[in-house]
Amino acid sequence: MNRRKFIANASIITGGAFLLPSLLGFDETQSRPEIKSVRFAPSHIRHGMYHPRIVHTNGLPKSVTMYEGQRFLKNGYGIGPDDLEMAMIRVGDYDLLISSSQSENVIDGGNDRFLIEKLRSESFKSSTSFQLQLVDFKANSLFIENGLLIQLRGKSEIESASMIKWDFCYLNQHNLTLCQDLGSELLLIEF
Amino acid sequence: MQKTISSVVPSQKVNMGGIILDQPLPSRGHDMVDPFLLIHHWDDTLPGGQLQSQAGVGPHPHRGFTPVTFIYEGGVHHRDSTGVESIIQAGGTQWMNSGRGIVHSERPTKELANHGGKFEIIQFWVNTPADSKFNEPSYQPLTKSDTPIVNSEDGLFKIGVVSGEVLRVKGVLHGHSALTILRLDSQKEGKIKFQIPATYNCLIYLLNGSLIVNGTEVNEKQMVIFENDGDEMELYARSDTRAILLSGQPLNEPVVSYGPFVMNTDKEVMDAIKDYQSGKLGTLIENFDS
Repeated sequence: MNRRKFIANASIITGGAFLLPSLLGFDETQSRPEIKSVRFAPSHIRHGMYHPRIVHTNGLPKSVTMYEGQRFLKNGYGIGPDDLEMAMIRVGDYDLLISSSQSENVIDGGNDRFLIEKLRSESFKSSTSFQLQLVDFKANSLFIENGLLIQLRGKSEIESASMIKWDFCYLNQHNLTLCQDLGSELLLIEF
Repeated sequence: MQKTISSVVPSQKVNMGGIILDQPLPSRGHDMVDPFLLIHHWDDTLPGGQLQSQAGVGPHPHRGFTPVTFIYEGGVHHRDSTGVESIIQAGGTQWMNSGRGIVHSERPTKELANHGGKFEIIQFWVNTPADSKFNEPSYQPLTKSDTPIVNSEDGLFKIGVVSGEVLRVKGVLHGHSALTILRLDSQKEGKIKFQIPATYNCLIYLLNGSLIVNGTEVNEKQMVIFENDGDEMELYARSDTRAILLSGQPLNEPVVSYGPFVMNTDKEVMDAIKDYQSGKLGTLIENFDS
């Protein structure tokens, strides 16, 4: 599904859901999304103790595993603006690395590597079973059938709850209202 | 002509997963001394009463360079994903080319973990040229007794020639580029002169003691970096001193170094991370009964 079609469908579904939730089978009392933060390992000096551990599985689909986030110090000894931060998610047997530096956010997975900014204009469908896209700045509502939202840059509010960098939430059959700051990068991984 | 000193750099304390180390390289203003990327000095007294599995550095990956460990006190038990297991005691060297990828652990010996005692090592990293970064990984141990030694005329200064050649004595370990790597050990008032090629980048780091290096005083836990302008080295020990000398032909290649990986591009580092995650760098399951 391309991005425009997705947003259009999401808007129609969302609008419909507000009007006739019971007809669409949505629960009006759906729980508020549970926002968590990617847990980071201690920052790595040069060498470091790199051995990522699984840290988030509760509440995620069985096929999805989240590892400790990693922060690599560029200068090798202290925190600086050029450090590399990274979230690591395994979907099935596909390792998805989301890396973030001062200048750019990049997706690496399988043989693919691209700037996350690219997802503003087109979604990415993996050869396995998930799709990536950036949530449109202007979207103020979203229906997520089965997916993970991760804040990669800036700030957003979903259901009046704040999301900042490296916050995430898993949503299943969920209608949500959202508002993003200018410059926000909110990644949606749909399973 | 004597090598001119370009700077004297103090080491700084860093925390590597709870292990406190002295790190002269990298440090502010000195990201590397090509091809040398890192020096870690771990000087500790282990408390004893530990299992070996609780001590030292557990399994972790590397790709793209050669970590070399000089053991000064105690012993280091190396295990890696190629199946190598090796214990080297004080005075010896562990030389591992991580090549296209390896997972290894570096722990104090079981006896040291159990009973405690002094543990002192230096680990430094030698970058691997781009065309050799994907070679098969390998491990070369060198014991104290197999390390070629040069003695000064006064008999007070000893040089362990680990790699390269000094005063017609050749080292036995070889990297992927031209290197001269030495262990310097002197009693008070020992002195020695030798040559290091002028084209080599060169540094000396002092574990302890005090040296007059080409006329400049250098003290413990300081690193001295040289210009590429001469080949003569004249050392005089003001007190009992242990130091290392690292020198080599610079590779002059782009370096991207994050954590345990040293590659030429950002993409290659991300590939290394992905390959490690997917098990392509191998797996190390340590056996602590052996």
